[in-house]
Amino acid sequence: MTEGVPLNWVLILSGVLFSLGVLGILLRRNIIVIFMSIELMLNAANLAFVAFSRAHDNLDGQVIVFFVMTLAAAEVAVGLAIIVALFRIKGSVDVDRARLLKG
Amino acid sequence: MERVTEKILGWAAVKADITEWWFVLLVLAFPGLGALFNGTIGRRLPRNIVGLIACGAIGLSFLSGLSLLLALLSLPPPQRIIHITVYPWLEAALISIDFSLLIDPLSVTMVLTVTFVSFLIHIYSVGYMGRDPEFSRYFALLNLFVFFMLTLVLAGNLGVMFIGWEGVGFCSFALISFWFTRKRAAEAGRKAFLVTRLGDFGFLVATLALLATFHTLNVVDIAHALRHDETITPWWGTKVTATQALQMPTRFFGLTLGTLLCLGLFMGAVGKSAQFPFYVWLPDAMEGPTPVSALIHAATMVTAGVYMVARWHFLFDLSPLSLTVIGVVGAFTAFYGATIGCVENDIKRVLAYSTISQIGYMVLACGVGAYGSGIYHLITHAFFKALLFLCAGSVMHALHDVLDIRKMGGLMKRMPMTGITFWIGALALAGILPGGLFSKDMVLQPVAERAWALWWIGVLTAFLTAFYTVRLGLKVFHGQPRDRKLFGVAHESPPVMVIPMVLLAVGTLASGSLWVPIFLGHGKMLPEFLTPSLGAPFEASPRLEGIRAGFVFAAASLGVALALWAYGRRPGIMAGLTQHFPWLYRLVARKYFVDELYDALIVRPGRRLSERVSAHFDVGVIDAIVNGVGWVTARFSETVRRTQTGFVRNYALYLIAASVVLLLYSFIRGIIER
Repeated sequence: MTEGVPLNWVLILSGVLFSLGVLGILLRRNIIVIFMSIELMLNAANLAFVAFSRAHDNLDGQVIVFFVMTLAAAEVAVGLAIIVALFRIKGSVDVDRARLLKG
Repeated sequence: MERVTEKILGWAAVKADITEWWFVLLVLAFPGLGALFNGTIGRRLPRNIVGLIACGAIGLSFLSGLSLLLALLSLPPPQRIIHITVYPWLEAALISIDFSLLIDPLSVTMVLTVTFVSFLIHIYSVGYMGRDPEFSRYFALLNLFVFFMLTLVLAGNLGVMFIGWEGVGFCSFALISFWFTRKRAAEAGRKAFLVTRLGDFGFLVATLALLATFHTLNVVDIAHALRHDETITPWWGTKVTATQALQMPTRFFGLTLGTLLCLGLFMGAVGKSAQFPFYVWLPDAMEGPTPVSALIHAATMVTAGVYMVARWHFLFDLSPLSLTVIGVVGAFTAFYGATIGCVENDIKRVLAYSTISQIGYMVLACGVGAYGSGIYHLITHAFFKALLFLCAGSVMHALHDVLDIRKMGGLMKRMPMTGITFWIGALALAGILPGGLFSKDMVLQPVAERAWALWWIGVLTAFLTAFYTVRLGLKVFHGQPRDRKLFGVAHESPPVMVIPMVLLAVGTLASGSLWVPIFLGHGKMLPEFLTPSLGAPFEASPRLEGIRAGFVFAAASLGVALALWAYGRRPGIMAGLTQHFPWLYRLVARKYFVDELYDALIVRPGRRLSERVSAHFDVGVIDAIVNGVGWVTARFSETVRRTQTGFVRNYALYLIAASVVLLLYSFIRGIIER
């Protein structure tokens, strides 16, 4: 019990969460859901960092998590602003509708 | 200042410095600057200024030429050959060609003739071209022409001479096709350029061979080498004396190198001076403005060939065969041109064929070694032929550019000044009045002595010359006007045109004083002056000289009389003759079908060839490659463009796929390195 969860399992969880995030980006059409998937990917990375920090008894990993969270927050702010602007033009959150850059 | 004197048979060629003779550059600078000025901003200037600059430039050039003459006269005759290197040009291990000028009696004589006649023609042009919209371009080109002509004349070596040679060829082309929107003018310009190019080919080959033999193109150096039989190292390596080098037999029919060089140079002269068979461009060149015909195609450019032969006489003297060729070509052309002149009905073309014929005389003189006589006839011809052309221009101006003499007649009453000056020039041409009479005599005397067969041709030509000249004069200025309406509008030309004509008439008569035959005082100003350049002049026994001159004069008088009778007393007789010998008339009137022959043999096949090459190669290969490059690029971009779908999710896929690949790559590398 004092040893906690084995490192490998946490890493596998992190990997699975990350993969789910990737699949979400690739397969979902709703922009908000894509955003949530991005957040999922970021959190998966956070989990991996914390796991390694625990395993090597090094607080550096946890410091990085702070940075990542800040970054994620900023990104969400900007990203949602863009989505709102897009919605105002397109009238939809369907990402397939945004095809103006088709060349 | 550095002076190196070398003895050439008692005459010393001086190599002087430009700082001492800087004023020779003025002769060239004034027309050059005039051309530059009028060519660039002349468009926006009023016509008075443009004309003033152009005429003034030539006038100043003439004065500079006079200063050259005075400078030359201040030297003793043996030292009157001055070679000046203005600026280095091509300096290589084996060859050396610089921008150099040669000041000697021959070149100064030419400079004065060219600038003086040019000056008068420029003034005349102000009147003649007064209403032309392209006034400034005309004068820019005319000044440019004089610049190049003077370069040719003052050249110290064949390189600089060639610059002038080509330059006058270009200006001639530009001025012949001055009214280039007119198809015939454009074609005439092209024809002139291409035909003279043929001659230039021979000229260039000879120049290069000369360069390869003597490693220099300087007149004084080559003359020196030949006169002193120096040892040189031609291109084939062995050291030989100069004369031996020229006597080397070659692969071309066993002719010697010297002969080939002379023939090559002469080929250039044949083209430029419109001798047979390269004369065909000159009659067509009459499409250009009449002052251009007067200046370029009578007085100056066409005489460049004669000048070149005279300048290189020491080379031609060493090859009697080439001199024979030159003499025969000259005599034949003189006769040939005169025959066509008898049946032409276009006022300018009669004069054009007359020019061809008269230059034949000059060439003939050179062919028998009497270069001074050739130059003398060149000078007098410049005066009276320019005068005749200007009179023709005056007539055309008055009759709204009608050229056909069959529509003229009786113009003397309406244009007396033109008529009188015309007759002065015509009789000089015919060999009756002093200017032309004396020079023609001086040409024929040595021919009689050295090639009597050619002399008879010359006499016959003199007869024909007198005949067609008087014919022209009578048909234009006398008799009943054939077109009443034209006659009605005829008027005398304004003074700006008449005064140059009068001055040229005076000049024609005055030029006779340069070299007077024995029975009239035997003034020898010209030949004595030219001796340093051309050697001693021809001397005949006085009695023979008198007899021959009398014979030629009689032949000319007979021609005059015949023309007066045929066109004055019995107007229908010539028409009657043409009925009796229709084939002969047709032959001559169609200029012996030479143009048709050239067209069939050269022009048409050439055009067919170029059309075929153009279709197969230019369109088929070159265009295919260029278009092909474009086509490939377009196809490629079409393909690549398909990745730009605009789908955000596609882009996300590319992103993730790429990162997967990178990940796998580092993963596998990690495994391999373990």
